[in-house]
Amino acid sequence: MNCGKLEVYLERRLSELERHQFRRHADGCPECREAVERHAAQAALLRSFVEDRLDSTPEPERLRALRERSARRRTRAPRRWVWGAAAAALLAAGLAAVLVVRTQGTASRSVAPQREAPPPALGLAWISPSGEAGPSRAPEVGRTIAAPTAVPVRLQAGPARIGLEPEGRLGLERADAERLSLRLDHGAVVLDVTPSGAGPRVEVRAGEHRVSVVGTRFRVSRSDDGGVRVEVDRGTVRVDGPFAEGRLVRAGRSLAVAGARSSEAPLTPSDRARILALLEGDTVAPAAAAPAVPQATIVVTPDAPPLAAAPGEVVALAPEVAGEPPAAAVPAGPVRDRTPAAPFDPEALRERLLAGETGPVTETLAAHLARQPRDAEAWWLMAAARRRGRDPSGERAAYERLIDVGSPADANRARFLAAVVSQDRLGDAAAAADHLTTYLALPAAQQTHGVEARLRLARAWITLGRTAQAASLLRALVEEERGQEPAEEAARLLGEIEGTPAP
Amino acid sequence: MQAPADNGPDSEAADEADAEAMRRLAAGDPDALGELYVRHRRLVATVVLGMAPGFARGELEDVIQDVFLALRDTARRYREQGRFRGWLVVIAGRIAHRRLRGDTVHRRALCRYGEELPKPGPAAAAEAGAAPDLRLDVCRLLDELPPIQRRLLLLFEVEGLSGEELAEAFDLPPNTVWSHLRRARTAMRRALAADDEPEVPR
Repeated sequence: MNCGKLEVYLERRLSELERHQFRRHADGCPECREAVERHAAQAALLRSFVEDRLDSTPEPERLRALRERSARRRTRAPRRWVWGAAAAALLAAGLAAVLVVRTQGTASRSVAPQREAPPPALGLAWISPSGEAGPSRAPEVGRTIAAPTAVPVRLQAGPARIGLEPEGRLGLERADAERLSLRLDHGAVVLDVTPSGAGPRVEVRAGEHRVSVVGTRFRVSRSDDGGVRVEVDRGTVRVDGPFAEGRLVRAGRSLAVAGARSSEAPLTPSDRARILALLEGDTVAPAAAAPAVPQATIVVTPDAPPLAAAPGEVVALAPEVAGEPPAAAVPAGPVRDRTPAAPFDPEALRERLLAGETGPVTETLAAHLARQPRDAEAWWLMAAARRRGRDPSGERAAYERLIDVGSPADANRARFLAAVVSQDRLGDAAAAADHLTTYLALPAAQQTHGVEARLRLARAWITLGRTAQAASLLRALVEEERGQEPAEEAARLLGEIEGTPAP
Repeated sequence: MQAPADNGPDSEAADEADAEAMRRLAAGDPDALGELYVRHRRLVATVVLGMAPGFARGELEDVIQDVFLALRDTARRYREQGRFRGWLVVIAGRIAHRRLRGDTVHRRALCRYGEELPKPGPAAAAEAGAAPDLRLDVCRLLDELPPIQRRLLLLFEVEGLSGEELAEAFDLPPNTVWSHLRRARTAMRRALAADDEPEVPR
């Protein structure tokens, strides 16, 4: 008799006593028991879906970021467009990499990071000219690494490959499982950070700018007059400085900031070559000029004497640190293979796309699609690559190809997305209306986004001046979706057309 | 047997603590924002994912923080009626809606292809206690639910909001909330049952 209470039990609508009674019943009733267990599994699945999307950065770090943002908004006029632009860029690119440069203003300095037990130290290893990483050691915070004249210094620290240009000076402020914090005192440094959700945050401070990294490849250099230049080869960079708040620098671009002046320019092939060379082992300066056994100097600040060691040899950066066995350090990763994969492998391309290699992936796809123009999966990847490359026309073209070559389900979805791109990114209401009309002519069961498609069609018609058609569509939506979000939006649009304020 | 999540008897005390934090926030206490963030971060994430389940991890945190930052501006207008969580659902929905704009649809569409989700490694999968593919299916499954059902289902099951709280937050008759939830539950059960069957590869 208690089986009838299953639904209300699952809806948590029973009193304590009734709940107890129902549980006793379910213990002896296989059907109810199974239903309750199935429901618990569903709920667990939904919970892990949400929790899995939550950033795994430790809470103190996240809180600090929130407080810094809060303090910044309090002390300055809100710059909503900056966040909007950042959001749009992130949303559009779906980046694995986010890079933030923040000012070290008074606002952010007032917030001290909350620290509990110190996280394990990060291993630091030299990389020999042949590209092999030596064994890693726990680094000593406070030391400065100085690259000698004409010879770059390469290091691997956790997920970050670091290349310090000749005569560059890099201070080590923090190196543990949570954060790798570097201070650029002079010259230029290139970082290649493997995207990883759980790895340490990597950041470079250059004068008044701070650059924090999740997974990207970029170069930061500073000049003696306080200017900073950021060149981005992969991912997107956000620069906040006294005069460059929230500037986004995308892959393939560079930003130079000097005082209040800033200028953005495309990355030249030689800029890119310089970034790669510093990481890959080609000597930047003429190799002949380098001494036979190049010397890297470790300058210890402030009062210890300098050490000298040859690159390729492990330098005991922390000879006196007690209780931090090198074994606990994160081993240095192998040198990443950058040779392009010859056969067409969609999974590998997807991974590379996520890692930010938009340009090369687009080229590979274009070559493949020239040979096999009816490969729907490759077209989906192409659309994703174009989106990441901020090429809405190319993205729409890929969707339009899918309408022709894809399965009926692919074609439907592609048609809808082609309309979305036309409307939101290209401002092409006529094309959007065309695609949406065709989409909405399909049987309702095939329209996975029917309501949104109708709202979008109404908007496109309003843009095209076909207000009478739009109004009748919107009135139907208000009626059919009563009490739900789309109805509110429809009513609002209807109000705009008819000149009356929305309720 | 696991009992469904419950609001618990301490919800009144929790509400009082939240109301107190909102008063301090309105008075300009910077620590109050952090407190609310720690307590309600997952709730806000649930609201945002209900609107756009295709969100990837790194981007979600940014939107969550935006919601909390905007909360500071609305703190003065906060009236202590009903439960704080219900109010936060409404406010977070509004802020996230403004913040997401037309992108919600686009992102939800992307969810179907999983291309925005980095393939989780075995460690991440073990941590979440579910196979990566299954989690992707949850995303698709949510994507295919009507928006209102998706939002109600997530808040009900993940955050344990009661039907009454949801009715108030979404301005719906309680019976409508229950029928939405039942339909969502049934759709989810069917989809998961269908998943157990051998599937024809795409």
